[in-house]
Amino acid sequence: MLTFDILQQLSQGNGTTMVNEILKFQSKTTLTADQIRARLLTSLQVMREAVVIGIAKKNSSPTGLSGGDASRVLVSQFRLMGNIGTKAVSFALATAEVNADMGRIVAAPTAGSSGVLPGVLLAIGEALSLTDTILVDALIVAGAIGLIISERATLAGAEGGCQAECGSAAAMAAGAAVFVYGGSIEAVTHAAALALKNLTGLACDPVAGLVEVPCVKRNAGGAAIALLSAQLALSGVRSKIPPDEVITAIAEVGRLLPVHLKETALGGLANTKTARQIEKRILGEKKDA
Amino acid sequence: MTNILDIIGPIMIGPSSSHTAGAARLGKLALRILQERVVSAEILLYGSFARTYVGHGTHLAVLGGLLGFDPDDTRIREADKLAKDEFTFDLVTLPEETVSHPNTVRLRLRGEREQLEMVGISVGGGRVIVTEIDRFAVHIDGESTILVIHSLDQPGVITKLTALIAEDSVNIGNMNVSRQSKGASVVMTIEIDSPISPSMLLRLKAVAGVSKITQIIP
Repeated sequence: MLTFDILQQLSQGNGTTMVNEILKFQSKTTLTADQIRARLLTSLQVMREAVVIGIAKKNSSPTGLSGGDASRVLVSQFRLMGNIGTKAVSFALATAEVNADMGRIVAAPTAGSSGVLPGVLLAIGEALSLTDTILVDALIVAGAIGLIISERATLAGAEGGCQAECGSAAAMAAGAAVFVYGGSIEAVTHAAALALKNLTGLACDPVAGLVEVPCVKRNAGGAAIALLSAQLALSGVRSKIPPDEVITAIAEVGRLLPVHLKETALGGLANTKTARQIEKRILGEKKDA
Repeated sequence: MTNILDIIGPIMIGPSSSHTAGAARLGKLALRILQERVVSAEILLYGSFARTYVGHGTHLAVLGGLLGFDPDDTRIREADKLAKDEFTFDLVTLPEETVSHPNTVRLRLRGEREQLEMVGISVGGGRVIVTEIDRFAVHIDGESTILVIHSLDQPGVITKLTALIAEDSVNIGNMNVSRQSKGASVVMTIEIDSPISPSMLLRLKAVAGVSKITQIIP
């Protein structure tokens, strides 16, 4: 089983050396390293397309519940989160809006949380003029973090709440961000842990059971937490609880979360008066969730 | 079974890997098992599929799959309009029916020659399992090459089939025989490490007792 400790032992170098070690470790595929990189390059292109489409989009999704917020944030005169932060949030929203509108996205790790990683990576990529080669390497780092979480906890909202989806996506994005800034693998693992710690226990309470409200905006939140965690880790801040133990903790929290908060639309935001009205409008009277 | 490409991926049409991408995969798997163009389709959605299909486009995804679209095909958005030109279909929702998995679909398909009744479940991350073919219990995830064989339940059929597969130097990874009652008919699923040649498929089909063979290559 892959752990952050193992990852750290494997990848003492940095940059491409680190990524090659990660690829060697995840040998449960018959694909060569070049083939994996080629597939991820395609994914990177799909991520970029989704952001462009999402920002240009003026119409709302089929349910009328989302759409247009990505461009709202991007053109706003208010840039409290700076250039990278504002763009990351806008790009994350764009991707999540495209997803809600039945557009093409890359699940990372899930469709519901597909905005976080491209939001963070593409915003940093633009600011630092990063090459696709580096961004693909960053996707591999993110993928390794996702693998560790999936093997030791879960990536499914139905099993672990939104901490499993947007939380994992934020951990992956935080690690990837540290990587592209040249951070060590140790900093990468701590960035992931810091992101998870900030999203521990996050409920999965989608209105009408649809991947839309609050999922689209939680992608923006995931991107913000990812940047925060990366900044902390790059500055030398370390998680007092070792990253592997943080994963054990989120697995436990996921199990302890009541079923009402695990994608069943029984509790939380999904159980508000407005949510129930929306539900009735979209799904009709019949409902036995 | 999980690797980095399962985490960063699949590339898919939103909004849900289970309710959209998985549904499209099940539709396409059914089309491949039917082995011909769909003429008419009855689509029965259960559980969460039945309750949330409007917002998730589950019905569009299934129809897209039946048209041969992959989960990342943007035509899924308008699959209902496109399907109308190709085949007739009915959509039935059964949210109250008891099912073993919340994301379950039953497909009753007719082609020019063949027909198929298939049950499939979407288990998360776009991964799916076909659990029933023509009322026989099966377990097909579409991730490995598999032979689905309809045959009579009589002595010797399995021996002949496996001997022929070995003759093609193809290794069998797993095998399952599903029957409703002794001596009637069975559906066999044979997981193989590499695809069987077209000529060998014909020879397998010619084995006495075998009525239908489908090879599903991922």
